Parts: sequence; C-alpha cells; structure tokens
Amino acid sequence: MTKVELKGIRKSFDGTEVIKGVDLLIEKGEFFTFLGPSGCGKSTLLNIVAGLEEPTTGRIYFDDRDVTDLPPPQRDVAMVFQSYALYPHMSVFENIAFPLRVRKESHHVVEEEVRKVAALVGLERHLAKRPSQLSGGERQRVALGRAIVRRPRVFLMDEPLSNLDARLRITMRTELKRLHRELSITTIYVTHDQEEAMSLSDRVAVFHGGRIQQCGPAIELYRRPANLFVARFIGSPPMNVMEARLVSRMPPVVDVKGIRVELARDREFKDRMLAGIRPEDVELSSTPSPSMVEAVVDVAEPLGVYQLVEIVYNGSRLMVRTELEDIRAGQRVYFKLIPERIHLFDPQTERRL
Amino acid sequence: MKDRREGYRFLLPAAVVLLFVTVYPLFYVFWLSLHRRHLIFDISRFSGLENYAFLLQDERFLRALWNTVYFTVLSVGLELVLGMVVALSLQRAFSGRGIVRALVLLPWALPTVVSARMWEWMYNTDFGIINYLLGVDVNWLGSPFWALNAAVLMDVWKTTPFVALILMAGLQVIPRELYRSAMVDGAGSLYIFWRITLPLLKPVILVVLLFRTIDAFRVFDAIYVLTGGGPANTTETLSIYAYKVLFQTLQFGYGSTIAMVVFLCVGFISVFYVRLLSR
Repeated sequence: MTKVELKGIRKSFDGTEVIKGVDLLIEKGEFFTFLGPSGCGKSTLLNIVAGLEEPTTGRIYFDDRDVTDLPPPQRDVAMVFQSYALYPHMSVFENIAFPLRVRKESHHVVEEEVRKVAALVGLERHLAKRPSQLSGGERQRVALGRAIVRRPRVFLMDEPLSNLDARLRITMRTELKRLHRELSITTIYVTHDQEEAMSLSDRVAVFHGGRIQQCGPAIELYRRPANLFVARFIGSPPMNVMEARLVSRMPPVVDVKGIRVELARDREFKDRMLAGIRPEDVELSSTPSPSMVEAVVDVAEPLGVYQLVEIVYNGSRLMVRTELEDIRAGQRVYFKLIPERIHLFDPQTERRL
Repeated sequence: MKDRREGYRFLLPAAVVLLFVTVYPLFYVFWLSLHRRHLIFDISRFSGLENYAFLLQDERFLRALWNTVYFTVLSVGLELVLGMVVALSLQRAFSGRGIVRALVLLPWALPTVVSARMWEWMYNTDFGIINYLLGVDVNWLGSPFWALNAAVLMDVWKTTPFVALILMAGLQVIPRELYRSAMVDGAGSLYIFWRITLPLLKPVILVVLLFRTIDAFRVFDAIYVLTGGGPANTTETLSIYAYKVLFQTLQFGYGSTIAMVVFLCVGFISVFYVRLLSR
C-alpha cells in the first residue's frame, strides 16, 4: 500500500494553465476520486500521477519518495483507460499477461498469475478470445485484469465505466468496490459521474477550472458543499438555487422568493444571499396546511419509488422529490422548505456561509 | 430471382469493358506466345510451347529475371525500412511537421522520367555531384557492378516517400492509449515497437509490400531512362527485355512469352500477399 502526495501541481499546455495549483494527500489503501465536469483538469492530473504528463511545477511523492522525474515504467502504477486500451492483436490471456511479459516473468509464473486474475474478474472462459469477440463489460474486465495482475503500488482509473450501458455500470461499480476491498491497493479514480464517485469512494475531490473546490468524504460534500459549484454538481437532480434576503436578525428570518423561513441562530448571514435546497429537502403535500405555500405542478416524472416534480409558485420553479404517488401535472400542491436543510451562499464569492 | 437477373444487367457494361481491355488482350498475348512470329522475316506459324522451352536456354532472359528479382527484393526491402523510419519520426509532434511531410513527398511527386534524367546527371562520371561529393571517379552507370545498384538507389529515393505516407496513415489509426497503456505497464519504446506497433501495422505493411513488389517487378521507365538496360544488359529487367524483343526486334511471339512470364510472376506475388492479408 502506498501513500500518494501531490504538492503544488500546476500544468500548462501552450500557455493555458489547466491545473492551477493542487495539493493532495491520498492515504494508503484509500479509494480516492477526482470528480468534475469535462475539461476541469482531472484526467490531466491523473496522467501526471501516472507519469504520462509532466507537471509544469510541483512534485509528486509515493510514500514520501519523490517520483516526479521517474518515467511511467518506473513508478509501478497500473492504469485503466476509458477506451480500455486493449491490444486488439492479442488474446485475452496475452492482454492480461502483457505487464508480466514486459517484466520477463517465467512462463510458469505468467500462466499462474493470469489464471488467478482471470478467476478474480470472471474471465476464465474467455482467455483464448480476442478483445473484438468480447462484450463491453467483458472488455472492461480484461482491462481491470491487466491492471490487477501487476499488483501495482497505485491503481489509476480514468473514467473506466463511462463506455458501459447504465445497467452494467452499476454491476461493475459493485465489482470495483469488491475488488478494492479484496486487494486494498491505493486507487485514484477519475469520473464526471457524481453518483459513481459517491458510491465508490472513501474520499472525493471535486475539480473545477483546474482547482480543487472541495475534498472530503462523499457524504460531507453532499451535506455541507463548500461552495455553489459543489452544491450544484453533487446530488441528482441538482440543488435548487434561489435568491434570498435577510428579513430580520433576531430571530433570523430569510425571505426566499416570497417564502419566509426561520433559521437556526448559530448560522452566518448576509443581507443578500443565495439559498440552495435539494429536491429531497422540500416537503410536499396535496392538502393545504397553514405552514405551507401553495404551488402548481408543471411536470411530474414518476420514477417508481419516488417522483420528481417541478412546481411553480410566484413565477419561480422548484424541483421537488416526493414519495407521494397521486401527483399530476396541473394539480395544486402545498410545500415547505426544511429550514435546517437550507444551504446559504455568498452571492459574490459563491462560498458557503 | 428477378432481382438477381436485374443485378447482372447492371454489371454487364462493366463486364464487357473489362472483357475487351483486360481479358481479351491477356488471351491474345498468350495466343501470340504460342507462335513463332517475326515481322521482319514475315514468319508466322503456330509453335506450341517452343517459346517457353527456349526461355530456359536464353541466358539473357535468365539474366533479366535475376536482375528483376534482385532489384525488387533490394529496393522494396530498403524502402520499407527507410519508409518506416521516416513515418515513425514524422509521427512525433514538432513545429513545421506539415511542411516537412509535404517536402518528404516531393520525390514521389516527380515524374519518373524527370527523376531518372536527374539521377543520370548526378551519376555522371565527369560532371556528376555524387563523384564530386565523394571525391571519387566512379563510372556508376557504366560499371556492371554499380549500374543496377545505382538504379536501386534511385528507386529507393523516389518511392520511400510513398511507403512512408501509407505507413504514416497506418500509424495514425493506432490509438494513442495503447502506447500509453504499454508505457505505464513498463514497456520500453523498442518493446512497444515490436509487440504493439508492428503487429498492428501488419495489414498496412502487407498492402505496401503488395503495391511496391508488383511495381518494382514490372519496373521499366526508371531503368530504361537511366541506363537503357546497359551496360552489357546488366540492368536489363524482364519488362525492358520484353519491350526490346517486342518492339525493337519485332518478335511478337517470343516477346509475348516474356510478357506472360512477367504476368504470371506478378499474379503469384499478388495471390501470395492477398492470402497473407486475409489470414
């Protein structure tokens, strides 16, 4: 198990800075995810850890040893690519064996290790096939097998599941989690899918514009987003964000688009703020009650266990998640924002208050 | 059934054209090769396989066959190796790559006659730049040893760009992630070349070899302009020999026999490569 540390990493391509100073400490055996929209620099950072790209400035340490100047072969990392990067002219067996062949392992060792890994990723029956004869999920397993057979110090995974269909993605997610538990090798995982990041990772770093926006356990990013970007990026469907005004300080009352909400006293306030509320933090009812506000349902999307409902009140739209089943478009509903679940942000800095 | 018959009707014009421009001449040449036919002496009679039997005793034919094989193997081999070197080095990103790529293609873009004349002057014993640069006094095109090699050199200069161009196209199709993956897995660049680049390039290499072997085997204009087949027939290839027999001595029968040999050789080469390709 290896500890990975990044210190002051910056990277420019042709004068454009894509990574603007990243410091990170990834613990031994941790499953760590770089999460962000495309173009945020997360894949570039992964390539820097792999040694495929050189940082413009900054150092990389594996277990306190500086590896910044080591070429990829000497870093002992294994990488899984989005396209899987399988060698089309080799059998599944040879694909998995490739890293061992490079190391000139004996025939006996190769045979044994490949069979072991094939069993681990469920490919025993496909060893003689070519990658072109496999399904997407099976190819994904070959790529994983080729990474595992190395017993590397660090696993690097660049969007490994994004070429799979939705159902398979969830199966493979579970599989990845199981493999990580069994092998407990430090893993750095890159994805743009917040759900994937949340379900897999011990910790997540959210990237945007070449910087880390927030870093911590997934549940913390969900509960206490450090800024508006994280608030909107984590959670599906995304958080509702509305303008809010402070009406009184004692007790603290804010006006969110005409709805008055009393908040806890220990929070920080400004006169003008942005209020964020997740669709699951809005209470919805089909019968009126004095504490609730009236609205009209514009769109209702039944999803089985719950419904996503877009409601309109006072000309504003709000996405709400509800377990009520008898909600139809055009219907009158009543709703309430749960005060302790309201996130407040500074409208200038977009930081959490 | 009706659809099928209709399909044949559409194919008919093309089939007729092919029949007249390829199949008919081919069979006519074969027919001629079974005759003794000298226009000069006004002889024309059927002679069966006599011409073919004569080939084996004809030292000039055997010499031409050997020259052709030597020229083909050496020039195609060199072109492949050099073309690969050029393609690999032009694949790397550097400033001005587009211009360099265009410049590399220049020799191939010149008409063969022009480049042959140019090389003829470069090889010139008294005024040639090659003797001047090397500081020697060799009669390149007049020496039986050098003349054929001089022709090979010219062909390599002229055709390497073509080989490089096709190999470059082949290299571009190989996904970059395969190299990156192999690199992360610890492979050095030589290992990657032998285990990844070369095997993935195999179909393209075979196509290059197919084109180049057939072209080289039928070589005519390059050598004809450069040396005319001399000195003492040491650079005479099958095509040149066939041309001389056919059109300089007007022996239509025997000339056609030599042409048939060229045809059969090229046919075998094609079948050989196409088989390798479809494997």
